[in-house]
Amino acid sequence: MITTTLFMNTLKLSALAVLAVLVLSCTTTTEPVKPITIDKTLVSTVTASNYAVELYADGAITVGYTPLYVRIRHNGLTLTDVHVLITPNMDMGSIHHTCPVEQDEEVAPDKDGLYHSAAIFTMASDVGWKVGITIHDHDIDTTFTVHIPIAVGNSGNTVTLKDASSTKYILTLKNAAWTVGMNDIMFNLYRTADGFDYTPVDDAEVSFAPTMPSMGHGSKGNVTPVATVGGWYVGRVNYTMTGDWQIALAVKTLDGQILTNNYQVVVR
Amino acid sequence: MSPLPTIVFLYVVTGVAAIAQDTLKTITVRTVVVEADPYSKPWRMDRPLSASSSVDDLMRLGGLSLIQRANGFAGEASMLGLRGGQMNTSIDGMKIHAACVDKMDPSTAYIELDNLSSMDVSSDATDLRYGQNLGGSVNFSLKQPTLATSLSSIVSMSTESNAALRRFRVDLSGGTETLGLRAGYTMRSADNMRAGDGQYISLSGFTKHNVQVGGLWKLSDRDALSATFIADVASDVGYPALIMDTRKADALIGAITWRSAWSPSINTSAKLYANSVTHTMDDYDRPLSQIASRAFMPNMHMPMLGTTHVFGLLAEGSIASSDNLIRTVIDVTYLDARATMSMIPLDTSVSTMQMTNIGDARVATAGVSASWEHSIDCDLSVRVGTRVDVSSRTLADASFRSVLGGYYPGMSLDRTAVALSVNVGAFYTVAEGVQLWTVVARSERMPTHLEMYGFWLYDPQANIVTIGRPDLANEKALSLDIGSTFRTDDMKLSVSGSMRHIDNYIAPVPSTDVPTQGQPPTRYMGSIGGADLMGFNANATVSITPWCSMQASVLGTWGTGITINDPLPLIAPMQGMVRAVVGDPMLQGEIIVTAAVAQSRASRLILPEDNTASWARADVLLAWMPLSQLRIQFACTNLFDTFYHEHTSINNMPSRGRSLNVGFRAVL
Repeated sequence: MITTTLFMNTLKLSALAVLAVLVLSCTTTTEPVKPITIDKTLVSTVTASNYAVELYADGAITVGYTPLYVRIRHNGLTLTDVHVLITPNMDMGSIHHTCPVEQDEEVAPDKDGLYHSAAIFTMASDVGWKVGITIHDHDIDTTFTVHIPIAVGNSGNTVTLKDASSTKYILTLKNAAWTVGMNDIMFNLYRTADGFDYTPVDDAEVSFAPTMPSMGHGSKGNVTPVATVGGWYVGRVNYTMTGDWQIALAVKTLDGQILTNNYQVVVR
Repeated sequence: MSPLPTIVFLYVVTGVAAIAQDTLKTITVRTVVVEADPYSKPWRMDRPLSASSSVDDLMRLGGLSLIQRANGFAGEASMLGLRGGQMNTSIDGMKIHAACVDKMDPSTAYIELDNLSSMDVSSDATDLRYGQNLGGSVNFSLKQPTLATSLSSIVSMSTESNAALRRFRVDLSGGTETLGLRAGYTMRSADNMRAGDGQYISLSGFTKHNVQVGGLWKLSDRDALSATFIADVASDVGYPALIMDTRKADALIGAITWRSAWSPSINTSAKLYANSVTHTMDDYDRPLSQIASRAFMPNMHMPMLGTTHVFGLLAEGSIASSDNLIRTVIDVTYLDARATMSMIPLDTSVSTMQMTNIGDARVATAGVSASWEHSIDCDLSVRVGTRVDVSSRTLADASFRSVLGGYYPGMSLDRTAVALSVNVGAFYTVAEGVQLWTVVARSERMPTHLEMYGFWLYDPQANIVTIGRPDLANEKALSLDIGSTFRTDDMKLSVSGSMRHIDNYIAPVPSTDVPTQGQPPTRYMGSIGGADLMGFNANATVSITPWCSMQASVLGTWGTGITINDPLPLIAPMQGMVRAVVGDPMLQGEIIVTAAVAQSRASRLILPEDNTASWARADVLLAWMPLSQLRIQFACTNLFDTFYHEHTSINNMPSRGRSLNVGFRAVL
């Protein structure tokens, strides 16, 4: 008798347990929302007027061509119908200047809600640079600006040279994950007279020569860069081995100015 | 016992030597057969005097020149001015490709004299069985197990005073009526050698181990299956004339062969084989002062790794009748070759670099050769031979393709090459014992994978860096060989000559490029136009008495790049040899004198080299057999301690000075 009772109790408890599992299962049919993960480095977030402005980069920001990404969140939602305009500014105390920027105000954000732009930082500074981000929200027709301080590390990818007329040229080698073999190589050329207005130079003659100073040789098969748009010149470089390479750039402007610079790159 | 019939150093010129069938005449033209097995004959004109013999010594006996880069180790064969891809070197018909892009490990480095039964040298472009060549073919025949022999072992040891060369060999063999087995192990080792001027050459030692295992299974009266496996490991091989040394070089060679006698006149064989070679070299043993001051890539270590893998199928067949012999060979190979180099600067602030010298080159080649020998009458025979090869070449390393492709924009790195060679020969018996022969050949060879795809390869003698060219055209040669032999019971004389014109001679094309920062100039492989080669060879063997025989030979080769008017490089000057053997099998003495005239025809453009002085050396040997199972040998090589270097010795590396050696062989 005792055995039978025990068996019945066990059966009942088991049935209740199964029922409980079924009920609980029915109440969790909605999948948990996976948070959006952004494969970028968050530089900083600034909040203003219930807007969270997030600035992203591909990694540590260094001198040279630097893609920047901005995401705007409002009341927990990512906005996709705004205009974003970035304006880097360098405060050197008595002197201010900006740097060349590539951006398109009309461009739509990507699937993560990131607005793409790029700046060519011309000098390194831990505290001097701020990226001004102006946002216009079309839904409520409001415009505001935030300033995000950033640290810009050293690199040799951009150099500022003066010609005989004191016009400054910004010569940039677009950094890349250089590998052995033929690589696309991109140079950028901007001109400025005042440090605020930067004009892309598309009519220069650009040539380069890769060498390995530690080896004393170069390579063959390199393709002379040709101008595309926005001051960019695209060519091909043949890295025959891994290691430290030097790219000797020579630019001849339309008025005959010769500008040169050596870039150090590492091929892996 | 007359020694003449047992002299194994055979110049079978115009042979018409009967084999197999009673009436069959097989024609071997200007072929040297050197027996490698010292135990097969009581006399020993088959082997060099050195008690620590190597394949290199055997090749010298066969009339080859050796391009020497180390201390009696891994010499690169050359004959009649042909070398590299112009020659075909095979082992039982198998192709083994060097893994080192700097030619430190020719295929012959991976076999031992003890692995071989004989070496066949053909210098008239008629031997196309195992590959295209312009007139030079060397095939080494491996020892095979024997059936119906009792179990026996041989222990052989020797040592030399110079470089403390020591050699140990143990051999075990035996067989039943249907199954034969054979296994052998050889160890050779040397310290730094001493040259004739008394100076020790640092980093000239080596150590080498070789194991060969073979089996023979008689399937039926007509069929037999054999298998051979060779493992060869060399370590710490010094190359004093180069800028690096071999740290380790190993090879695994395996083959399975099925032989079948379909009838007394029809024989076939099919061989499947594979081999793998790995070669590592570095300059870690070199003093830092040398690394800092060298011309090429100073101030850095540069270890290199090279590998090759070869897979092959070799099918041979022959049909014989009383007046005809037809032979065909189907020869299929697949090669995979890679080589990389690291550069580790002594300045640790500079990044380590890595370069690919051969980026996974894949070469698949299929060839068919056929020959027909026909006896028109008892005095006149003719021979016709041909071979055609189709070869597909590519690079599988995408990164390397990108690098090399950058050097040749618009040029395809993939290629299918075809080569066709034909030859015709006539052999006429003028009178009893007197034969005349002639061969006309049109030969063609495809460029090697190194010539096509080699990147940044350094030639230490010419002090140039070379880069391959994927669209290289085939080298083509037109040659005429003539010769005569006179033979009596006690004497044999032979003389032969050859003329060869080569089109599209492949070489690093001389350039006027100005090197940067004192670095060696870079050259690109290409055609330097036409080249002419001429040569002669005369031999005499005389049995003076039943206990005394003499042999003499003289040979010379001249080569000129006629388009650029420059002597062809690495051609040995005229040289001769006189050899006398006295005694009987119980007690035998031997003296050999070798001499070469000065070489003043040095290349100045193609591969710059310098002139070489004349030299002469003498070697002596005394061999004693107190028991039929025991042989004791004493020898002295370079008796007068002559200080010299051969013209084909890279960077004038001197030859070994006087060396006393002693050894024994015991049959247990």
